[in-house]
Amino acid sequence: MSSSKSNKIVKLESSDNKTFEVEEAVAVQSETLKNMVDDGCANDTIPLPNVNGKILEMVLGWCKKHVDETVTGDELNKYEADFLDLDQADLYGLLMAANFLNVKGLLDRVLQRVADMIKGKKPEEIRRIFNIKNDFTPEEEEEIRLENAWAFD
Amino acid sequence: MSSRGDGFFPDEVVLQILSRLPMKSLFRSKTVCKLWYRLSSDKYFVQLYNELSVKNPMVLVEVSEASESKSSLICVDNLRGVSEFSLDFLKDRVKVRASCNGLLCCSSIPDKGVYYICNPMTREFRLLPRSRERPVTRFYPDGEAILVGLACDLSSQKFKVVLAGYHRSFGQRSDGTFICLVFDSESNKWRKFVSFQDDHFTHMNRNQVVFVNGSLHWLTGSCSCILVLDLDCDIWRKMPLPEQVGSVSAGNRIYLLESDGCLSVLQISDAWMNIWVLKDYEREEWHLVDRVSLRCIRGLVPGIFPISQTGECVFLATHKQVLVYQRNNRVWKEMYSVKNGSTLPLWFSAHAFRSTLFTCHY
Repeated sequence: MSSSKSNKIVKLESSDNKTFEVEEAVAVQSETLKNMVDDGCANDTIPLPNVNGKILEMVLGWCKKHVDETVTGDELNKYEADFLDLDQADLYGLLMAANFLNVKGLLDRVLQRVADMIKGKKPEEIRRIFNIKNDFTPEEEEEIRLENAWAFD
Repeated sequence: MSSRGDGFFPDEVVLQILSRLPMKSLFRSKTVCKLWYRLSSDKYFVQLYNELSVKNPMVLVEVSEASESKSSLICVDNLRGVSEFSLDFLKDRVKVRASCNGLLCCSSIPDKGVYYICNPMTREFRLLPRSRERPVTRFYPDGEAILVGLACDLSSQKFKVVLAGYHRSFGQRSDGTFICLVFDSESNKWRKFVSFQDDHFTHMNRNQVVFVNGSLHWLTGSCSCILVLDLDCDIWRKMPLPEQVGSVSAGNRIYLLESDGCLSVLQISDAWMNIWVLKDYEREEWHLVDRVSLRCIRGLVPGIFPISQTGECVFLATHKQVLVYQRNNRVWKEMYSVKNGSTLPLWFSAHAFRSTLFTCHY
């Protein structure tokens, strides 16, 4: 957060052409946007072709909450916990957006949430969750399982 | 492989997700697809995983319940609570002697002089070659090394094992020579050097060895200074404690721990726990970073011992419990409690630990 409060507004446009206007202090929670502001590229509307309006609104909501000095520590904790109560599609969209926009705290939380989804699951279940094709032959897969048998009991 | 199209994550994101998995889940994820198998063995990934693990301090404890003849090993941490683990994969009855950056040094109970280095989370282990030196079974007074130190360098994945103790010639008393045996994982060999020491070490001091800045550190029995072994040049030296620590008595005890890569001294008196961190190693400057009120756990204070910590929390053990103190919100929490009467106090065999992908293979 900048020590001299700038009243600058940053304009963003999502992939589905929705525009958002936020204070600079909110926008720079995103390292990506902060770099643009520092480089003087944030004067016109910044297009974000890989983030849709719904997700961008969520991300900006997070950023706003984190610069709001009236929010207490407990309130923030609850907000962060409730924030990630999303369906899978939204969660992935949020992950990609947080990664692209590089919003550190949010990215960390979403990554942990996705990791928690995989924890304890069998490989077949993980493949289903991420829509990943199994490119191992049965023999190859069996070999890895045997190498690390303790992990599969 | 972002070339697979939308809905799939770029490699960097997959790496970040995998690095947040507990060990068992991580190993299971190796069979999901070839990309994940390759990414989870990648050198950069190992570094990432290990860096994250540094933030999750753990305590390993050997629990010997009075009702059972066997003892079990548990691991306590903030993220996952309490989990059991086993060293059965060593196929030997062992005692944990030292812990460093995810590896454990264990000595065989039936076979004196036999040592293993293992990663209890990945189940990798390495039987150390026997040292040709007699001192391995000629240490004085118990035939066992007084000091056992494990120095694991995370970036190079190399480690050293130190066995040090007083030596006695056959049939004689100790002559004050302090023998030091050092095992180097790179050469797979032991080397020996001799010095003279006049320190003694209590059990707690022996267990709490800290590896930072390329050196191993122990608190001497009199708690008058820190004994340092510089592993780059095989030299012992002494380091002063914080000035304000004062003399040690029953009501004023001190312990040596690590804190985020720095040496840390914890002082416990009746009502307070002071935490010092050696922020400037070269200048030997100690900073008092916290003063913790022990009012909430007043009854436990005489029998409580700090085991593991980071800048955010401190893990302590008593006879029957493992507690954690969160420094940011000043909250105490009981993480584990022995069900039946335990034969040995938990702190007796508690070690600081963290779960890493450190490999001990040659």
